Formats: sequence, structure tokens, C-alpha cells
Amino acid sequence: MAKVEFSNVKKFENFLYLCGKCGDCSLAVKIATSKSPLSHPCAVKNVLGYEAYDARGRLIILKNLLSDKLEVNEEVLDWAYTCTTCGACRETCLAVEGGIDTPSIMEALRRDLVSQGFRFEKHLSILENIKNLDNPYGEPKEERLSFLGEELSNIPEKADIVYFIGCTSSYRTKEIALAAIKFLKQFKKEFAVLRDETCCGSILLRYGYVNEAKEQAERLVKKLNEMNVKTVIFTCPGCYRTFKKDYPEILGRDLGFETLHLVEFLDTYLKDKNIVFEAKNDEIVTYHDPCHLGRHLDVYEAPRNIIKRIKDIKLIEMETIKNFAHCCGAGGGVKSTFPDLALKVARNRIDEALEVNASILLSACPFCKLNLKQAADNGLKVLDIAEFLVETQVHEVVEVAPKTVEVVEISPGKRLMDYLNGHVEIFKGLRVGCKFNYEIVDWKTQEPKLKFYVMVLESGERPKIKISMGAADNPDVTIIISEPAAEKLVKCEERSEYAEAFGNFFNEPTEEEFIDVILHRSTKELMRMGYGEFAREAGLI
Amino acid sequence: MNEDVMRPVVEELESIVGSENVSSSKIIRLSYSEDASPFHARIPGLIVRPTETLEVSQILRLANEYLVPVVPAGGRSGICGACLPRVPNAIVLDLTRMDNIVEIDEDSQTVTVQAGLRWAELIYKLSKLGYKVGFRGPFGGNAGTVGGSLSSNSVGCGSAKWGSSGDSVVSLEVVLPTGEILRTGSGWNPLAKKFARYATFNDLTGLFIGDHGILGVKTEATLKIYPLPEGKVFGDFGFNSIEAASKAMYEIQKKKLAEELVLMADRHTVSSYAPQLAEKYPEVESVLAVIIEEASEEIAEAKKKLLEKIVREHGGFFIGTFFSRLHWSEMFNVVQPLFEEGYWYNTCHLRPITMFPELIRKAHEIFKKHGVDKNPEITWVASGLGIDRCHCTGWITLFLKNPEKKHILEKVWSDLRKVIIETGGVPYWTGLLWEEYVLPRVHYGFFDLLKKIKRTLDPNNILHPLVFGL
Repeated sequence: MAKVEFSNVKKFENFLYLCGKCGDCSLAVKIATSKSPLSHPCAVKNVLGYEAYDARGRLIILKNLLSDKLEVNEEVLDWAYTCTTCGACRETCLAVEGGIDTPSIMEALRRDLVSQGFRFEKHLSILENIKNLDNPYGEPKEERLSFLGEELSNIPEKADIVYFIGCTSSYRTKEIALAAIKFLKQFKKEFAVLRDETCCGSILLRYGYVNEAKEQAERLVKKLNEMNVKTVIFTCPGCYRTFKKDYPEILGRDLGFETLHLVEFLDTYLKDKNIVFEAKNDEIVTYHDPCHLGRHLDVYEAPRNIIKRIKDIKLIEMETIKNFAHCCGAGGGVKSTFPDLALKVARNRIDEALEVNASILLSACPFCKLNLKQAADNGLKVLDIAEFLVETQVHEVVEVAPKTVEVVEISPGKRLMDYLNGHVEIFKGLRVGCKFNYEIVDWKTQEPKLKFYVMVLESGERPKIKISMGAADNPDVTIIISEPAAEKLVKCEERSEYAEAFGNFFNEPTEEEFIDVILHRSTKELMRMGYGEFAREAGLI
Repeated sequence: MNEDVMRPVVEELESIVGSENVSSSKIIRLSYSEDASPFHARIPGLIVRPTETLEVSQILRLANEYLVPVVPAGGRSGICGACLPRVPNAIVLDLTRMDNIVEIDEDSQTVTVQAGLRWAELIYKLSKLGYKVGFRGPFGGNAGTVGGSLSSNSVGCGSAKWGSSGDSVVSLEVVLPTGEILRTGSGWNPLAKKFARYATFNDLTGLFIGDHGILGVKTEATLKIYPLPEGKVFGDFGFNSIEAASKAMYEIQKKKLAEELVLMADRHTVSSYAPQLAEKYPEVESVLAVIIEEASEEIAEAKKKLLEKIVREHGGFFIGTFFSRLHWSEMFNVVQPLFEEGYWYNTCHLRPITMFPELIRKAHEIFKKHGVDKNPEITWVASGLGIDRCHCTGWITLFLKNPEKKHILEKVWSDLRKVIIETGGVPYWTGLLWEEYVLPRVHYGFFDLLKKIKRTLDPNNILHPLVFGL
């Protein structure tokens, strides 16, 4: 075989060297040892078994390719496309800040292979379909919106908001698109659907066909800019990731419009409203984080917030969730290249859902839904969140009038929240973008009574912060404070006093008054983010 | 590899473990040619993934028939190259599919696990039932397996109280190189539970612990378990000299106070791990991080008082609980963030605590000699861990930021290893990291007996040839 120039892979050469080959990327279980919902992160290796399929093995093989100890052949080509690029290995990896980005390195390899003529026949036909029919499925382009029937005439051609349906929901999971449209209309948002929507090019990027994907990007972004679109809403995380992450990179510019997933739109819209959803039956549901929505774009809480709004539904989490959730197996071009492999990976995820006795597995991705549904041959229902909302709460969404003001005792957690809002100097030294969770817990049961999180918007002596209820997407740290400790913290008059008390509750905890800290990043990374200043003042370090 | 010769072997292996668990693919074989050490293997000929003891036995019988070398491997997170084949075309037995808990025996307070189970997974599964193991696994215990640790004399989490990996073992199931299956300890009696290690005969368990996989393939291990603790205490203490810190460490270990005891040995290490702390305490040269775990809060508190008294008597002072708590709550995650400093080169060994300051002095002399103290492209971390009673690990780990400076690093690394042996240190694991330094010094009688045992158990020298020079 001809010699291959690995110019794209070589950009990552340093990372091949920095991998300490610890094996965490496929073998780790961190549930008990570091309170992380992580277990055997590499979903592909969990099926194929051999080391070659996890990040450590992949980096070893790449080193052999770069040093010409291994030449490219069909086996290498197959191997290059077995990675779903889900990113679980990266989340697990502590070797460098943010983890070694093996998915990007594998995509770089694919670009090198494609550019030098190593191509799959299957991929070429998908390429042709996108070129000629604007979708990878080989479906007639004129039928793209036919599933909307007469409804289409009720949807404007132009508006500030565009719902980008995507190829999969146009041809394969129309129910998700119909559900999305129902909610967008229900919440009285004027939105448009592109009459000549085309493939976003996600699959081309995942295969390594960057130039072809760039053509798609240019055409779509030009059109949306010409329409003066302000916001594009997606139900397909694949399209969403491609717009939000890949387009600015391959086009070299800002898109000029905001991008949102439907769950983010709904979560934001519902936040200040008394809208309740009512389910048909009491059900146990669990939620599968799509890789492109979760790990790739850090959207974890919005779908959960929506599910928690549904009355009589119990959300039980699987063993691996959020940034450590197992991939469904469909991403990164694996479903189209190796469908059997994708299905086996999905079966493992289905098993995780069954282990928590869920009767419904929810997701927020048409691609995940298709693959998981195909694997769920055991009665487990697999639905998209939007679809679930439509299907199970048949009652109209009810606008409840604001409740009359009740006199309620303010909890210690709420008092701490208010206190922190008024004492922003506590967060001096933190970099913009830092975000961390607070869990105020009952000292006896250790059960959380209130969860909120802080985001640093501007740094400085008196930083600008935002405090929100719930948990942050991908937080840096979680601070657990017992209610009696919180009661005492709010009495501190200034930062130094607060820091001292904080340190005492951490270093000399009592049964009732204690503080614990769970780190979600390495200490080195946290120091770089500015957490060291408070930690030092508090006597933590 | 000659495919005609190997074809019948492959076919028979496939009939034993299934075709999906035998691979001769070049990329798959290459992916097993490295572990977490800086060393490289001879590329394996086949990778085989058994799930049961009987399969391992059949594989070894087959290997003897065709005279194919076999190398057992676990999570391959070891840093001495213990599981890297030394001869070409070996069969690598990837034992990570053998990861079940076989039995929890509450009467005997033991757990029997398959050898390929990872420590972190074992800890998780036991914690759900309210139990812990004493020795928790090496610092690479996310991927490190029980079998791998026992084969290489691992030390690590929990070693201050519970000793090295082998000290937790009650019984082993081992497949001998010729395929026979052996159960050690009270396991000699098929009617008895596996509850006692030292029983009836001599300690055959010990023969296989630390054998680096040359005398048998460990397939099951029975380990002691304990109820989860009710009382926990954490403490970090600063000292103005390594001598003072070592003396305190010695006293704490003598009185068996700590579950875990970590020493950051020099100021350079304290600054690397905790720059903020080094800045806050300019006088601190060494830090001891101590974890106490006991059956009740009262016992833990009583031990804490004794600990604090010892620290005070040696001029140490309390500087917080962050490092000890982090060390425990981030078990098995403390080493990986250091990879950012560059590839790591280790000198892991054991020595009496009282001889630790000498190591640090000599190491600093070596750093000065080779200009490492002024070369930012090579850095180090010097630390120790209390083991069993009054010995400890000597961990001087070098990090190479710039591969072009590898020639300097190699000299430092080599000098350190020489000095470690010359000052009475003994590596716990050997592998490619240590053999060159250890084998020339082994007492003849010791080595001769080892050779005889190896020949007796493995007449065809099938199992991991060339390890220990055999």
C-alpha cells in the first residue's frame, strides 16, 4: 500500500506521547472510588473486547502508523471507523486538561485516510446521496417535508426562529419532528421550517470528508443569514453539534445566529412558568444522554428538568450518566459502517435501563432513538422526550395561575443562596466560566434539601455571578454543606470569616456541621481556574 | 509468525474460547505491545481472551503441545513492564474478561474473585454490601487487576495498615504452566471453605505471589474483607525536614495508627502537587497525609489523638485535611494528572522508613550531578507510602517533558536505580524496570532454587519466558 501522510494526526502527536497508558479509558469504574457515574467508559471496547478499540490501544496503534511500523490496509481502515467518537474516553482521561481528545484524533486520521484515497464504498454512496438528494438515506428530496402534509402551510417560510428538522427526523423519525412542531406552536413561538432544508453534513465530517461538509455548511449558513434568522432550534444533536461546534471551525467565522436544542428551548421557556405536564400512567423512566448533546455540548440538566416537570413520572438514573454516560453506539459513522456493532453497543445500554427497572427509555436524539429502539426487543419503550411529552400527557398543557403567596419558612439552603448573592467577594479570583454546584443536605440523612449552582460571569474583586436552582451542566466542583453549617456560614460578615468557617467545617467536621467537596476536574486544572485562592484562604490547601 | 504452523493452534484456541476471543490481527496484537511502562514488548502472535479457569487450563495444555509461549496479562496498568512478552509471537492471555465476584463468604469474611477483576470495580461491588478489602489496589487500581497486582507484589491504597497485595490473600486458584489446576491454603481440602492461608502444609500461596506470571496463571483469588468503617479521620501535617517527617512516619507506623500514610518527601514535590501550600508554608519541606479508618468514631478519635501527639513531638504541625481527603476520595486518580508533566519513569521500591532520608539526599545529589535541578524539561516527584509496619515505598518518579532530553533522563534514571539497590532498597515488582539492576546481585542459592522451581513447574518454559532471566 502507498505511504500515507498523516498531516492531520500529526497535529495531535504530543498527545500520543502524553498518554500514560493507565487504561482508565476503558477499564475504570469510578462509582465508589471517586463518586463518579463512570463504569467501563468505552462502549465499543465493551463489545469488541480487544485493547485496539479503546483510546489507549488506539493511541498505541496511531504511534505505530506515524512511525511506519504499521501500514494502512483494509484492516486499519475498518478499525479507523469503529470509534463512535462519543468522547467518553476523553471525559475519563485525567492526563491533560480536558482529557486526551482521542475522538478528534480518530477524526483526524479519517481525514488523512479519505484525502489519500482510502474510502469505504458505503460511504461513497452516502456521499452521492447527499450530493444528489440532500440526504444520506437516498430518499427523494422532494419528499423531505411531505410528512407534514397540510400542516406545512401553517408554518411560515420565514421567521426569526427556524426549526431545523434534520435528515433523520424528516425521513425516519417523523414523530419527533411532529412533536417538536406541536410544542413550538403550543408555546406560541412563531417559527419557520426551511422549505429547501438540506443535510447539515454531520455524517461527512464524521467520515472525514471535510471539504464536502464545508459545501453543505456554506450553503445552509448563507441561506439562514439571508433570512436574518436569530435562532435555529434542533431536535437532532448531530445537526446541533455540527452547527454549533463544527461550522464555526470549518467556516472560520461566527454563524451570526444562536443555536439551541429543543430541550434547552423548552427548559428555558418553562423555567418561570407554572406549566405542568400530566402523564397517562405512573411510569419509571430513565434518560439516555446523547453524546452529541451531552459530552459534546454540555447539555445535561435541561432534559432532566423537563422530565421532572411531568407529574407521576419517576426519573431513575442509570449507572452511567451525563458526561460518563455510555454511548448508544450509533454515532461517528458506526451505524452506517458497522450496523451490527452499533446494535450490540445499544443492547448494552438497554441493559443498563432495564437494570433500574425503567419501563421507558427517553433520549433527545433521533439517531439514539432509532438505534436503541432497534436493540430494545424486550418490551422497553424507547422514546424521544418531545414525543413522550406528546404521547403521555394527552391533557392539554395547563397554564396554572400564580399561587397566592404563602408564608413559608426560608430554608438554610435558600438563605445561603441569598447570602452568596449578596457576598460576591467570596468568589474573587475565579475565572470567567467557572461553575460549581452547591448541595445543602440534611445532616442526619445526608439527603439534599436544596441544589443550586453558581456561574462566574465576570471576574474581579466583586465578580459578577449568576446563581440558579438545580445543578450545572458539567460543573467544576460540587460543594456539599450540611444545613447547620449553612446556617452558620450565612452569619459571617466578610470573606475572611466565611473562608475560615468554611475551612473549619471541612477540616474539622462534626456530625451536624460539615462540608465536603467533590472535584470534577483535576486539582491542577482547578488551580488554573482560580479555585486555589479561596481554598488557600479557607485553609483547605 | 508462520501461519501454517499457527493455524491448528488458532483453530484449537477458537474451539476453546470461541473465534471472537482469539485474534491474530496485527492492529490488535500491536495494541498489546505496550503497557503503562516506558518499555516495549516483542509483538505478540495471538491475543486470547478466556473467561473461565478451565479454558485457561486447556490453553496452557495446548501451548505445551505446540510449544508456544504464553504471557498472562491483566489491566496492563503496571509500570515495570511485567506483562510485556520478551519473546516473539507469544500468546497474550488477556484475562480482563475474568472479572466476576465468585463468592462472598460472610462466615469466613472473604471474597473470592476472578483474577481479572479490577480493584475499583471490586471496591464498588463490595461497598454496596457494606464491605471493604484491606489492601485496595495499586494507585493504578482503576485498570489494575487483582491477579496482576498479586503477580507483581503491588503495594498501594491501604498498604499502611494492610501491607502489600499478597498480605490480603487467603487462597489462590492457579493454573500451572502444564495446565493442572491448583488451590492453595485451606483450599487443598475440596470440602473446606477457603478461609485460612497458613494451614496443614507449607504456604504454596506465597510461591505464586510476585512470580510475575512465570509459575502459573492466577485465575481466582480469595481475599480478606472487613466491614466498612464507622470512624474516619483525615490529616495533613507539615514538617521542616525530611528527617523529622520520616521519624514521625516511623512512629505512626510502629503504633499501627494509619490506614494510609503518604509522604511528600521534598519541597520540590510539595510545590509540584500543591504550589499554593508551598507558598503558604515556606518552611515546609515534607508533608505527611494520614488517613485513619476504624470500626467506630471513638477508636478513630483515640488514634487521631495519638497521631497528633507524634506529629507534635517531631515538630510537625496541622496544615489541613485537603490532601488526605483528596487522596482517599480520588482513590486511583491521583497519579494521572501528573502525566501532563511528560512521560513518566519510575523507581518504585521498598526500604525501611528510617532509610528514606538517605534516598532523598542521594537523589538530590544525582539531580545536581546531571543538572536536572536546573533543567525544566525533566522534573520529578519524590514520595513514599507507609507499608505494613516500618517500611515504605521509595517513589522517585521522573517526568520527561521534552523527548529530546531523554539521554539526560536515562542517565539520571539509571543512577537512581543503582543507588537504590546499593543503599539496601528492594524493588517490589521487577520486570524490565529492574531486572538489569537486580539480577546481577541475586544470591546464587536464591536464584538457583527459583530456577529449579521454574524448571519443575514449567518444563517447556512456556510461561512468560525470559522473565527474571529464566
